[in-house]
Amino acid sequence: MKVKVITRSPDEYLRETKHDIHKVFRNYDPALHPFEAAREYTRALNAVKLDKVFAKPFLGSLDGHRDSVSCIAKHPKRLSTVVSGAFDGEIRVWDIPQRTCVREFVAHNGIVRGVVYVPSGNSFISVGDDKTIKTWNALIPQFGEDEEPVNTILSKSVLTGISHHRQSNIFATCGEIVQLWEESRNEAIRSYEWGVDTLHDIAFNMIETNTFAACASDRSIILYDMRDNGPLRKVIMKLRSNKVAWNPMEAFTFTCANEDYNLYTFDTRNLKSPVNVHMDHVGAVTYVDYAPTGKEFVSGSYDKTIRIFEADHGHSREIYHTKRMQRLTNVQWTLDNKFIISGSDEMNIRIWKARASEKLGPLRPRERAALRYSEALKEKFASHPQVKRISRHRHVPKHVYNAQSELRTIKTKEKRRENNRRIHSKPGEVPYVPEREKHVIKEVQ
Amino acid sequence: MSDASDFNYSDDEIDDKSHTKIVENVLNINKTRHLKRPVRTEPTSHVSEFNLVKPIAGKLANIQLEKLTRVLKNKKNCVNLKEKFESAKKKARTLPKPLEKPQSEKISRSVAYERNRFLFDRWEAFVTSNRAEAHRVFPVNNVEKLKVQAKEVEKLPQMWTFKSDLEKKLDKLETEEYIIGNVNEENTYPLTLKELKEKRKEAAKMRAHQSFKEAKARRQNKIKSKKFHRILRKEKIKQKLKEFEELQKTDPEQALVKLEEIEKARALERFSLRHKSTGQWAMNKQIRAKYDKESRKVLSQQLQLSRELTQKSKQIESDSDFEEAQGETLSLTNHDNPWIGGLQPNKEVCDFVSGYRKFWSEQKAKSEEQNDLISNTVDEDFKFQLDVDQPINDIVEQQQVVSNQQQEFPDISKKKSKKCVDYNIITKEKQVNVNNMSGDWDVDEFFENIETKIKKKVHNKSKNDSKKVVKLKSKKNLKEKNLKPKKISLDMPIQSKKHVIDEELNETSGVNKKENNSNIENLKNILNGVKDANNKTNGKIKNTIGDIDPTEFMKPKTPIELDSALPDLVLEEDPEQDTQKNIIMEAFEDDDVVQDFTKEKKHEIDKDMSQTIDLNLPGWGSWAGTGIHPRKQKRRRRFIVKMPEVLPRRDDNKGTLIINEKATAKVKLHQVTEIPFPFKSVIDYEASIRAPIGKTFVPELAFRKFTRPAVQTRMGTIIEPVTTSQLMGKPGN
Repeated sequence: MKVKVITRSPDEYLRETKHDIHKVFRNYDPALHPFEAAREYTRALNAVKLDKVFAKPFLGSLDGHRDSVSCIAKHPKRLSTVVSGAFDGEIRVWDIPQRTCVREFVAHNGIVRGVVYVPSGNSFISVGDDKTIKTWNALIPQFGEDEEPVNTILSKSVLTGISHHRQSNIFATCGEIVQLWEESRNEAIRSYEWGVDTLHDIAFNMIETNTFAACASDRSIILYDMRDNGPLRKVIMKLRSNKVAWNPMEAFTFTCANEDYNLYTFDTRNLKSPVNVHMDHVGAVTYVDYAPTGKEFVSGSYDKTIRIFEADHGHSREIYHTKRMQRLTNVQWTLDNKFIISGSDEMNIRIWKARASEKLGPLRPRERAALRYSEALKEKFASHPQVKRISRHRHVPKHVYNAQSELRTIKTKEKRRENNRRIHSKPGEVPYVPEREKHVIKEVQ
Repeated sequence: MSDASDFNYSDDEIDDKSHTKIVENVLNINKTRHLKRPVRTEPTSHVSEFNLVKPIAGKLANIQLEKLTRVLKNKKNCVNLKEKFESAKKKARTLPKPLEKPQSEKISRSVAYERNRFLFDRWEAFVTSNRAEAHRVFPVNNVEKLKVQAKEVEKLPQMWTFKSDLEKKLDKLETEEYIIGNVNEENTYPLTLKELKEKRKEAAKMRAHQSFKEAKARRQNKIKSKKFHRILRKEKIKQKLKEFEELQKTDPEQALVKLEEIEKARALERFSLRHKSTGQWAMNKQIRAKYDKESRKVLSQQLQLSRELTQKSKQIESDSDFEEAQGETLSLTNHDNPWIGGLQPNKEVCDFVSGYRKFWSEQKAKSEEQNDLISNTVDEDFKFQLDVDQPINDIVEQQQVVSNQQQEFPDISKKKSKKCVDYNIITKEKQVNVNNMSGDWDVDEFFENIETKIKKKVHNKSKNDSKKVVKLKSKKNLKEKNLKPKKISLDMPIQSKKHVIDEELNETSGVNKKENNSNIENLKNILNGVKDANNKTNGKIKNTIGDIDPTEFMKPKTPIELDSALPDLVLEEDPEQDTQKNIIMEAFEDDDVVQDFTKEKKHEIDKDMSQTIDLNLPGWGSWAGTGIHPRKQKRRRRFIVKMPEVLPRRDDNKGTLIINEKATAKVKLHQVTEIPFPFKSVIDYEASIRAPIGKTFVPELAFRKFTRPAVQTRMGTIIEPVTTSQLMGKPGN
């Protein structure tokens, strides 16, 4: 009798080396997998929970400053170097992977208002309260050499901020007036005024490099063009904005951090109303910086928290805080889109992960695939209530929690009052004003 | 020095006052007073506007050109100059006053802004496309850099190696060969552009032809009429026979082979037993089988025969058939048993269905009538053609033209169908007349007449038709014009349907939560205490009364339910299920299932009913103790708590159905209540959820595609901002 036996050649199911993956034979017929969606849902739920488990964004702090940190600048060519200035006039250069201070010196009498690297990365320029602009060599002085600036420029007016052109050797400072400088000259090339007594921040556009924006003390943001006779247009808001940041991937969008706890994203071509209002902070927002991908930005606030926003969303996706971190003066997103560097009032510079639960370092292919799968699952089931609840849950410090509830009551109260007024007045008398139009007073030509 | 001192001395001697007086007098001779011209002592870039008080030219000026030109009056060599002056005087206009500074600055600002805006607008397309893109890889490749690197790479190996003379010679040879190869490559294009184009044209023609044929075949396949297919088949057979006969004449050997083939095909058809019970005979028998015993018998015999023939291959099937037959008999016997014969539809449903059927049959009858009319006309035409063969061909053709028109404009044809019928009837009558007549010439004449008449009619009709068509078209145009032009949205479609969840983070503070927890625990303790007490005092009372808030009961939350595209029940009739059904039927044949079921349902309903709670305790308002029986009538109303009414159950009106509404409570927690933003319908969203993305369900490549991250960055590389080189169509490119 002939007995039929199912045979397979061992080549099909045995691996060649022990490092190979076991071959798995699958039948993808959906009829054989009746619980696909359900299984994937549980996987998504687990992924979200694991995400929370691994969410440890704080990486370390750089301590050494003897006064609160006033400004931080990223190196344009290197990821590991950062310069910071403090309120006592000291400047420090940091090595981030080693978490050590490479270099320290007193640069100015009084506060260091701004530091900026030259695009080549060979030197950096600092601006201080002593009305001087000092250029420093990026290289560490050799043994026996003193820390001396390569060049010092005395300005006639007060300086409060500095920003460098992305390509050419031109930089702009703000203060009483906006001034354009060339690195090789000791006098300002141009100076622009537009009826404002103080400007406290300035930022060059990174794509259309001839334009730049400045924040003024009359609650306005002013756009300038380097080539022409200067100012182009001005938006006046209800409260003053502390900082502007241009999107590095979109030529015409910039975001400003405002005193009224919000951030506003503007389209340069239509300044009448912001494109988006980013809420969630419970204190004045002091700093904002875009991720190099242009899809997200990070903001630091007077409420002692850092928040990460998606550029087209109105609410933050993440909040970072620690017990010892005080008012934030500076937040920077590193150029590899991985880390966030924050400087705060209590003299520390902190390093955070940009995505709280991301695994750092190289990944094995299988590991990467698994992580990507869980990421995709989270996205797929994002609007399922349990997934949403877990992924959006955060513990916040008590003062933030209380401030939030307070703000909420204020908001509901205002809404209720407005509604009541609307009910008791002629129809059309109390118009519905969209949130975006509430915060801009006017656009000035 | 002495001179100077002398001068000084003399200057001192003159009285200041008198001097100024003299000067004033001299100035007053002209009787015009001058402001003193300011004198500049330092070089300045500013020119003070106060210096421009007095005009340089004009009537009030110091220098008046007219006075000066008077000198030229009589001089001949200055005529030209004079003329020039005159013309300039005529043309001269005072320039308008310059705008005030803030205003002019505002204008320049706005102009500059517009120019910049144009620059920014160039980025619009780039930005929108980037925003819409589902997956992006950073850093964005910079084209310029890549080019440079490629060239360097080409040069690199040459830089490293030293070549001997022989190698150099060989290289030369190789390069020559390479060049020759290149030339050959150029020559490998044998076709000129014209020829290529022709070839392409031909190919396109072929393709068009093919597609046309395919379409035709598809159309023919779709035709359900048996008659048509029969005719088609017959035609084909005839064609084949003809071919075969021809073959017999020309090539007898081939013909023999073909004959064999034909025979084989026929045998195969017979062998396959395709015509088991679908033949005309069997159909008739089936119709009769309802009333006639004999025909039933004959049919069953036939079936048995066929079964016997196929028994070897389908033994098991026949068994199931037998059981099925049994099942049918069972279902006939047991009407009450809900297990048997499925659910009985409601009376309303029945009414509705019957009404709908009536309506449907009426509609169908109507349409059939119309079809009959049309087919009659066609048939009559056909007859007409058959009876009077050749001379009427023309007329028939024209009729066909008319029918074609009908096909083209179905709207009109419907209206016209009646007219057509009349017309056909007339022709029919005439045809009858023709048939009665004898003699060829008469017929010819008659037909000529008819021809002319019909031609005229057809002509008129076609005219009318065309007019109508024109009218219709114009109407359509008007409608289109009336419709407002729709806005064309130029937004990029989002490539990935990513959920947009723009919500606040759900932020809690740790301390507060603890407090809350403790509060909740306290509450729970209290509740438990109450419960215990109640349990002790009265066994009957199960609920804790003090905590029940009637308002909560009054407003039960109606869960939001999205209309799912999936049916709640999956109704698939598998053969296995049928057998299962039969088994069940056998098992429950004797049980009184219906009554059991009703009992069960009632029990279920009672459980859900709100019950009043009696809080009366023995000894309240009366004596209690051993030997004293509490009076049953005297129950105080205020101790009886009435529970609020619950919403009617979902299975209230459904006789043989119990719906457990609480079963889904746990699942509800996990279900979506709103369609997330980019999706517009539940169907879309459900489809997106149902489609798996995991490795276990989809192949590797698909898995990779599905799980591609939205933003991909390389470790340790700096992402630089975009540059204008990435901009398409910028003036430099």
